[in-house]
Amino acid sequence: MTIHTRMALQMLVALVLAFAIGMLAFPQHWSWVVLTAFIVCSGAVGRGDAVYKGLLRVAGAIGGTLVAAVVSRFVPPSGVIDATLIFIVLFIGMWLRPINYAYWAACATLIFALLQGSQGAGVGALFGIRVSCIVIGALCAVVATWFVYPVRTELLVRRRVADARAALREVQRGSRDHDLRHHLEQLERVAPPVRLHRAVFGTRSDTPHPATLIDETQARLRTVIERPKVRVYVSVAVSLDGYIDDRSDQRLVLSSPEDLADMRLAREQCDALLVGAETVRRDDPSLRSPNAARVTVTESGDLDPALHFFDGSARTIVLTGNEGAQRLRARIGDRAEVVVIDRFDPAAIIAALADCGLHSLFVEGGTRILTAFLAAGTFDRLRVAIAPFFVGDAQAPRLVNAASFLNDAKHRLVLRDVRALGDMAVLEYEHPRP
Amino acid sequence: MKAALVGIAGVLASFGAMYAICMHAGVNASPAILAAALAAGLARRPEKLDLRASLTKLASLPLIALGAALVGLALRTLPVLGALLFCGGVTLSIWLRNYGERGSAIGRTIALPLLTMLVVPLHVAGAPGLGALLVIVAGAIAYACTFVVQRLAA
Repeated sequence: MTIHTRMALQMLVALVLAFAIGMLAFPQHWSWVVLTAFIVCSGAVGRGDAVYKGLLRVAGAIGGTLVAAVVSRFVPPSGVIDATLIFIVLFIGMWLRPINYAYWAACATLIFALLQGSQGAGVGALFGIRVSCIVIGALCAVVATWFVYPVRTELLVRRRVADARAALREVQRGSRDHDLRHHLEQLERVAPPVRLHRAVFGTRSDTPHPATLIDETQARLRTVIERPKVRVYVSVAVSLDGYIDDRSDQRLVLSSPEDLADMRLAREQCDALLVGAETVRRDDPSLRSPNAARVTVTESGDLDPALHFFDGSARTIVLTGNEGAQRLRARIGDRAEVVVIDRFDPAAIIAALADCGLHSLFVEGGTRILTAFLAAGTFDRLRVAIAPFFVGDAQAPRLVNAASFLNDAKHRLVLRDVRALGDMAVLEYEHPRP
Repeated sequence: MKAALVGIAGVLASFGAMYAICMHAGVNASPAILAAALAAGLARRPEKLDLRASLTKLASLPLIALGAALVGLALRTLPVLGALLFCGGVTLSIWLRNYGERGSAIGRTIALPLLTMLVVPLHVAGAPGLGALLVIVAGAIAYACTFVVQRLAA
């Protein structure tokens, strides 16, 4: 049975109970019982939620009736004054409703009291009846949600926490298929009753309270959501047979002068240039671009301080693990910022760069770095420049290694631009927009 | 704050327009209160509908409001039948959520006039059929005012 069918049946039972009790016990005011049963039962995602909404409804109704009594004592009955007050209270209720439902309940009760007051009914005389009707209506809803195909709040919370944490793990691995804000909202929907439960009954020391689970998960979600976004631009030049270099000691030049000039312009749009440590060791690239930091990633921390990479002409960042950091700090001193990361995947790299205040990353290679970013689909734009020749060496470094790629035959990239730069064909791709 | 301002603007526009019609027709302000209550309900959950969907809803809401008014009449004259119709309508409105966002939207359109009828019972004295006509007009005005105000504020 689907959750909506369950909720529909719970509502049916709540309304039948409310009509029966209301019409028998309060022939003049049965609608208050029915309305409360509807409000409390409507959208209640679990038993705890129904109890929580019932409490808010009762508290709001008592507050609203008391305010109405004060208003009726000091403001003389008048059609114009009552109408003005009603619209002001309605506005306040609409404004405060997103903060807490109790405010809306209080304002709605005050509006009804003013409406009835303008029609000659005494506010004070109806106080007891109103509160009784609302308590009974709330009880009808709670009984229905408690006994008719009930949804246990703790199980619901644990399920949503598990869903949110699974999505968070996927996003931290580089997936962009999960909307973390949606999970944040879903958790917030089930949070109020369990937070109230924790405030009233406290927590047991042996297991974490569901409210604590929600708070911890929401904090993790917010950390990822609120982290500044880093735009990732992957750029690569390949031979016609898909190689990015040959096996000689000299770096193979694939690009034409026109392509190099175009790539320099693209680099200048970014504030960080990333190459893998193997590329730094083998090619010793100068990685010069105005105002751009040089970045590399190494697990071992095995980098020679005499490399161009550490010549001090630009901000230099090395991302590494704990052991690599110790080794690097001893070897290179203050020639580079050494940032410790706990995983070597694109999401962790980007998160670390965001924490360094960088907002756009130009990824140049080599094969391991390109494979990691392209497999996870962690890029905003991919530039592929194709050189008009073959390398033809199976041992030479290829564009990517074998991996499971996010953009497979069913998830094709979108070709945004094709142009000829000298004898190079340059293709620009983006992810399809959702 | 902006949502509340937009909401109250829709409510005031609906009430004002319907109140003028009630005065012209020589009936009490009950249909104007109904229009204001419907507008307040519509303001709670603004929907991003295209023009065709909006016109469909504009056409359907007054008819559903008329159906709800008949349920309200049944609640006063044949309470058991009225209660059964009310329970059935509200249960159906929730069950329709099984059919996704479209089903949920239809469900909300059904539930809103039913609940409004519970909150603001309609008492229109006058020629037979005048009450029904005013309910239809109140539904149309509430939706049109809310739609226009939300579009202007967007």
